Amino acid sequence: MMFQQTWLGLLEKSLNDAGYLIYSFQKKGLDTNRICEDLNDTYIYIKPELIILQIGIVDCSPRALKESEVKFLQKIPIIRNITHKIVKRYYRNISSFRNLCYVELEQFQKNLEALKNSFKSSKWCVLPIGLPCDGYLKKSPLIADRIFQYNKVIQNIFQNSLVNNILQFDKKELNTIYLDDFYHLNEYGHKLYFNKLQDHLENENIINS
Amino acid sequence: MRILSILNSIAFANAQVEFKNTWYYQVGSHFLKNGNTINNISDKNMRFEYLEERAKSQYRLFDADIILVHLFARDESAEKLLKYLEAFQKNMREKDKIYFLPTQIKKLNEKILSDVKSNCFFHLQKFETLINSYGIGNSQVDHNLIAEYIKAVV
Repeated sequence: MMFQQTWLGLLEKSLNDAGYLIYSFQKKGLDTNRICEDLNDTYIYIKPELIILQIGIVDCSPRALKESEVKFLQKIPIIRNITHKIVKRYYRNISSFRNLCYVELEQFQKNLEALKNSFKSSKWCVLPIGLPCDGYLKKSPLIADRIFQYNKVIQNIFQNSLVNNILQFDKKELNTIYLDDFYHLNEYGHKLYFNKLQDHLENENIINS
Repeated sequence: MRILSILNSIAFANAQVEFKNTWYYQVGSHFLKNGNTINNISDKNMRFEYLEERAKSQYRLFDADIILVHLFARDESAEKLLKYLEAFQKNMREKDKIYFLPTQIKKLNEKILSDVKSNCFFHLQKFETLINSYGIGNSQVDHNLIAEYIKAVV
């Protein structure tokens, strides 16, 4: 899939056409802790008129290993490979038993509040964590509750800035928008996300149709 | 035209002028006003050595016509930097037009400029005073000069 086919690529094109210059911060595995780490030496200088924040599952996803354990294991090649195989095979059971996440709910709330308070004069547009499909629910029994809890925090903090219609997929539709890994959007999913986001931006008079 | 700009965001914090007056903002606005699509990717931890891998996993997906790269040198030698730049170019498409902006180390720039096969390394170091310890651009005049230079060349 090319960048232009993703919701962000489609949105950037649309916002560029509306005269917006976009600065995007995209990184594999980016969570709200990392965003806050970069807040004071990167983001605040931009003074953006509009901030589009997409929160994925990195913060809340049930993990089999702590971040520190992953970092430690990465240094020992043989053990790393064995652990990787075990975790891959028994992810469902280990993650349910250990009940870990990279950013705890309380910290997640603090991070979002810090972010919001740093840009008081900017307009916000926040995409909540996408709802899980059947495949993901089967693979990760805790995910539905986690997403619900974290989205509740996002909703409380960002209220009207939340792109709520992202959460309005029926069960059947949810099973058609993700790739085989069950959590990254496929081309169709990206298009639907973009349409919903575009509707939100127009309805809130953020950009003109 | 689609333009991809890869910038180390340390420059934001150390710019001597307001963000909206920096050369990178001026250049972005210029491209935008002329009907182009511009993708600005900024990362505080971005290094030359990551370019090769990210070219494959990220940058190629933008299908950009022009790519502007402004990063900081760490403790790499000029030879190492050259290797990174060449590996990056190999992983991009032949038709991609890539422009590397000078690093904050003048000696490295001179070496790269004399050895690099691509003619896309900007000759900005002729404005010696424009280079500071965090990249390029000190005063507002400097930022304007750089912006005008890039607009004219690209």
